[in-house]
Amino acid sequence: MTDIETRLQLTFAHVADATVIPPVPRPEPVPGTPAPSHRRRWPVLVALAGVIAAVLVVIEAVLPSGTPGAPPKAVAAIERLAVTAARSPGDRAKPGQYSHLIERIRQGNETIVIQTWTSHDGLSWRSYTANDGAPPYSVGWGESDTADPSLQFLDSLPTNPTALNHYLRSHVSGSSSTDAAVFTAAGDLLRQGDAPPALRAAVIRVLERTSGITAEAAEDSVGRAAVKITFTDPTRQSGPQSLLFDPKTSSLLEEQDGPNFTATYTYTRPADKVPAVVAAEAGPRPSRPSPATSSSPATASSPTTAA
Amino acid sequence: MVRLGRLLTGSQALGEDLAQEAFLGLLRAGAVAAPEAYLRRSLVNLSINHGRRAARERAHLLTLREQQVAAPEIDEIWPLVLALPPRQRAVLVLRYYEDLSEAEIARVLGCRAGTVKSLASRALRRLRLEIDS
Repeated sequence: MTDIETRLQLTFAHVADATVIPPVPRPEPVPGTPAPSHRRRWPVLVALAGVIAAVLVVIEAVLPSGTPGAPPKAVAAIERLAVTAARSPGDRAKPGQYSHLIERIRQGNETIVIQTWTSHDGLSWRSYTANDGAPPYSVGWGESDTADPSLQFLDSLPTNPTALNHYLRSHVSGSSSTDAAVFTAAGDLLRQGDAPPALRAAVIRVLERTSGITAEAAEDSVGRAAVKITFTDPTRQSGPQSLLFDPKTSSLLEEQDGPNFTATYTYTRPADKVPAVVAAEAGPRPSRPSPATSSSPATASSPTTAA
Repeated sequence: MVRLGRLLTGSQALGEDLAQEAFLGLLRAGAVAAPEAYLRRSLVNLSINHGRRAARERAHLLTLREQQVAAPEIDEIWPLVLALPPRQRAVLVLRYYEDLSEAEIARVLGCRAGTVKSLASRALRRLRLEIDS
């Protein structure tokens, strides 16, 4: 656990038990005098020492020295995937249809299966395996950004790899580095299987331009042949991230994040209807978020449901 | 539930309001197999919807309704958490206060586990940048 994660745990525990919520605004510093610091420095120093040690050990083994992007062998394997992606038409849902995705999430000892039906305008119905009796259905709008892309958002992205690489590097956030954030965004953009072929090829080629990448033949957790592209960030404590692609179609088969998290995509097809039980149990259709948080026009219609 | 509401909204009063609304929703829903999970999910959704509707109003409420009392034991990270977008904040609270797995958070938020990972990653990155700046 990182210093920030530890601080979050302590802070949440303090705030939850506090009788008065602590002040929100940060105090304005008085000009000419140093502002008092309440930072807890020791966890930062401990974490920093660990990070520096990890960097020294790993940096030579992973990063191609002095050159941005993946090493030549990985580039060749990734380029083959990109060519295949550009030629594979995919199974994108048409207006009136729904993208149907089945994913199996394994985290530690827990496994759940999530099914998602996403309408052409971005409203998603989901069902979850529920072994604790929690509500197993939901309906909601995506955020329509790189973390949760709508069809309209995917269509708005550049399909030139250089332009897409530039776009992602200037727009993504999160993760331990920009390279890590770009790698995560690549998974986000390809996960639902709705990216058009030219965009899929461009996303894969962005990985060629990302440092810390390796590629190898592998199998996913259900035994399917795959090309496994792995991103290793020396500063990341949870371990390497991997995207596993079908070598025949370049569709995303699986995501791995460290040793304890695997998301396996076993089914990605257009569907004509949302199952009636899902539509009924998920509850009323939510209002669309304000235009500021969505990049697509409000053209939604009621779900078509299957009996 | 009020504590969770407080963490999700940054406001005792608003947390109580939303927790009450979640309980009313549970009453309206009738028999529910897992009331606690139902309440948690309702509360998170209410806080996110509220954040989308009225982020500015919420900030105003905070300054008006909460007594500004210094609490030195509270890490400076707290106001930074409150400045996060509602879904990112919810992911952090569910992960580091409720101790839920990413798969469980995905069920609470009604999204994919990969999206939870992205939201958590973005939130932590933003906090790191703010702290280092």
